[in-house]
Amino acid sequence: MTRLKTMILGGLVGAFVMIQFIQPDRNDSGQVSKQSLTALYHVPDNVTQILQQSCANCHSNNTAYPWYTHVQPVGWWMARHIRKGKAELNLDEFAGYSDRRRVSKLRSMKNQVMDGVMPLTSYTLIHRDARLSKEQKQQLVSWLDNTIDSLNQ
Amino acid sequence: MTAIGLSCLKHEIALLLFFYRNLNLKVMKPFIFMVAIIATTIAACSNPQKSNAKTVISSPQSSPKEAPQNASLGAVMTHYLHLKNALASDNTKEAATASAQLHTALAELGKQLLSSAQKKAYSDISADALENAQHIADNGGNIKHQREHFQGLSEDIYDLIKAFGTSQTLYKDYCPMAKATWVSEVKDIKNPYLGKSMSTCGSVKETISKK
Ligand code: HEC
Repeated sequence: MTRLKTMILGGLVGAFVMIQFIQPDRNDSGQVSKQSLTALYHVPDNVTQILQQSCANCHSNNTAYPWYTHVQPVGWWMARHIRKGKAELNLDEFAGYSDRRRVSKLRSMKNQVMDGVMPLTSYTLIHRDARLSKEQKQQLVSWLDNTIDSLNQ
Repeated sequence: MTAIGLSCLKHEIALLLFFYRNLNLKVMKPFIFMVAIIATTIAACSNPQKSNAKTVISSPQSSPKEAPQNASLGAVMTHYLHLKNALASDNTKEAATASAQLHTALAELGKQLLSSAQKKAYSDISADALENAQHIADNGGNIKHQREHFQGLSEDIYDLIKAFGTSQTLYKDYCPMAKATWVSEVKDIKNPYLGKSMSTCGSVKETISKK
């Protein structure tokens, strides 16, 4: 019986070690984008800071990987979020969107933040500094509101 | 010119093959055979609209339907209005279904023969409209999120109507509480953003007459 247990445990440890070798591609262009949201609009520092710490890891071309994302399967989970997140909104390619879609994306950002859907809860559970305080939410939303209004004129 | 010539040639080959496969040539009088070929070939080649459609629509499977001079929003409007009414009665599942159909209709619209003004409007609007329709289709069960995307979608649809015209009288409505517009086929207000809880919020801002 103990022999069986040891074998199972050994198998699990072995599998865990094995999957560490399957590293997902890294989302790390290493460049500051000229097409980014912050290059396109005047974004105050506090808002830039919020976007950077709470959104950019999944919605830009440069993810700052915390150490635990080098451990699989966390890294895979992260890579999947980044792929899906960037398809919806890429802050580093914002200038590439048409005028119509820029307004659309800014509105979606506002809605997602107000609904408390973004940043993803499953992510903020581990990545604590990505959580938004009430004030931060308000600052982000009011900047989004102003920008949307100015684009709608 | 060469395109028209080519399509005539294709037509003739297809016709010959058709006769060869389907009719018993021995019984058929050669005279009728000749007349049939000449008559249909002339018909096909002297109809510039048809040959034009053939050169634009390159897909060989597409049936040679009568290509209208100007595409119409028909199917797009049907499904948009269906979606709008589903949201107005708080029916999130039906909204998702209607929006999936709208998505298909929007994609199909791009394959029709468009005037240059329509083409321009379509290329400006379609990406956003398709994306909004997709989100609504994917979020059956989350009516709040569906309504968020319905706002942008409604503006897209309104702009499409401006470029494509409409075959029925439509109304552009606005509700200050939702801060959002929508397009309706009836004059009565039935609010798709607030649903049954606040059904009558809003007023007609514009009547879009058919043209
Ligand atoms: C952990 C990664 C992650 C973080 C951090 C994150 N997002 Fe997202 N975001 C996603 C994913 C994944 C999607 C795709 C939606 C889905 O598939 O559920 C998405 C979708 C979106 C969308 C499109 C949704 C829609 O319906 O229009 C917007 C807008 C958005 N995010 C904004 C933000 C903003 C603003 C922040 C920061 C406050 C943020 N996100 C932080 C992963 C993330």
